[in-house]
Amino acid sequence: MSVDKRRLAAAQRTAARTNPSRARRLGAWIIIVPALSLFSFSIVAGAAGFRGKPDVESAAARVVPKTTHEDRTNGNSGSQKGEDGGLVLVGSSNDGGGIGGLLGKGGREICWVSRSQLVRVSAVYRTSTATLQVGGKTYTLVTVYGANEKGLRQVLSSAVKCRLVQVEHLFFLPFDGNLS
Amino acid sequence: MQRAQTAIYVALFVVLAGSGLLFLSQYGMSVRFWVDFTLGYLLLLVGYTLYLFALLFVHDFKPRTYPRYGGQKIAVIIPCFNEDPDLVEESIRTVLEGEGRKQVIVIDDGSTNGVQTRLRELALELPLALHEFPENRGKREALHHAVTHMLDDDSEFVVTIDSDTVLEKDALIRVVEPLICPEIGASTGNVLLLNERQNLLTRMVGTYYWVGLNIYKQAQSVIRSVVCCSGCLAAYRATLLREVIDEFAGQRFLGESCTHSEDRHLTNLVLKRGYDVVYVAEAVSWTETPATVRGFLRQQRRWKRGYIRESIYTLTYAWRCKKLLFLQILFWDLTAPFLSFGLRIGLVITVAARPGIFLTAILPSWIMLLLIRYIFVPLRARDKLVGLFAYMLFYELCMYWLNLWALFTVKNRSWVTRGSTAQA
Repeated sequence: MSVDKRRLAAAQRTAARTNPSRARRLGAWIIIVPALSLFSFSIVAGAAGFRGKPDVESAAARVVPKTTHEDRTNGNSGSQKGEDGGLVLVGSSNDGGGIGGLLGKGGREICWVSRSQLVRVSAVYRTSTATLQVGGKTYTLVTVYGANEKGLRQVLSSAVKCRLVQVEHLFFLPFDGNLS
Repeated sequence: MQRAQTAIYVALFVVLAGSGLLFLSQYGMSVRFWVDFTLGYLLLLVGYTLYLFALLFVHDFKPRTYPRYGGQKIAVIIPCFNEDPDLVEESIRTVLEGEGRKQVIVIDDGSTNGVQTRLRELALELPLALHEFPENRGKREALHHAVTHMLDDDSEFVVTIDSDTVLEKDALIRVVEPLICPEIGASTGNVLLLNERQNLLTRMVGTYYWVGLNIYKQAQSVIRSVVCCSGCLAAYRATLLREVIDEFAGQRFLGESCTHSEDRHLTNLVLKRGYDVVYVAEAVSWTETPATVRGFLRQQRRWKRGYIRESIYTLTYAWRCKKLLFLQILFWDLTAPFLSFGLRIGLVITVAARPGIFLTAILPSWIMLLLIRYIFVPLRARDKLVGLFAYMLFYELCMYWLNLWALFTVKNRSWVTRGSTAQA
């Protein structure tokens, strides 16, 4: 194909369109401004909300009963693990996909349960056990597979204190194509 | 100057390593550092996006106008190396047929494909000055020779074009009009692709050019600091070009003399002297892009090395005369690809480990936010939407990692587009 033909063909399909009318430009910005606000809000608010979630250790410190935590901090039977309860890690009831999940609305929750509740949970669900340092003291941490916080409450039939935690996370919004 | 460039170059490795280490830190005792870093990066992204759109808003509602061309003499320099003879002839003819009083200079840079014969015939037929190098010396040398030995004394403006570029009839006078304003030292024009519809790759590159010119370059033009006057169509004040041409030809980076990305360096030299550099969308030129992935990647390897090298150079002077440009380069253009290294690693791991989440959550969110960030494409160039998605996917899969490769090989001097042995 000759240069002229190629140029003509290209021109017909991708005109430079350098001077849209003022009305068209205004119309474009009526769309751009709200879209840009949504863009900024979804990123900043989502990320800030995500940031509000503590990691496992911080969340555990918040659910461990105060008396137990203080006793342990004061050295009273602090070296014994799970003496009067333990920590369980379950999926969040709000865990989901979509942009909420992407921006960190999903995740896992850590709950404090009594010793008898811990036995019950282990009987119903597949679990693995580890330990977690909170405030310099060691606690039993039971990871519960296939359960979320809602299911846990149903199994235990009682109030359980839980906190959302961020075990891992992902953001993917780099958009730095460097097209200049 | 060399010491400052070295320090900035080393700092880029620190940024890259820091991003990687912060990513790894989440697998240690706490995710806190990684979360804070990610939030900081996202705030930077939002800030840069708002800044970009603010500049485009100014352009849309307060467009800059320039005095009309008044018959000043324009010297047009066309360096040529192993180009398709038909395309070179077309290029020269569109220049000669274009509007404006001009002097046309063609430099054959030691071509070996027989294009010299065509150039000699054209030199006999048409009003052009032809100079032939016996061997390939590079585009810098070609421009240097033309400016120092062949420019007419009364040429007020110098336009450089690539030998595979054809011009619209009014492109020359449109691109030099801003130079009538004494504070503007250089300007660059719009580039469209002759072979845009050849295949998916060329469509993708067509979008890449459109976004690069009509979003990024347009925004840079509002602050009068366009960072690269494209080799396809660039105009310079002749007196200024004479002043900088020796420094241009003798550029060194990390102790090595430089070959590629000469257009970006010439623009840097103009900005460094405090002149403004602007983009003129109405000055339209047409060029061809490599139509194979291999060819395109070879070209991009060279461009990305130049991008890093010249962005580093910009940081060494811009704080004195172009503060907004300095901040833009420092906080986004130069550093973002390396800052986001950890995020990309995270993406690769997620895609491999949890493809379901990638397909149901990340990809849809990515597409939605991509459409917002590049909303000008659906609004003003709908035919480029397919190319936009294709390019951004290609960028994540391939082009992004080229930035890292370019960082490690920034001293490499090979030109690589026109043949493996070419050093231009």
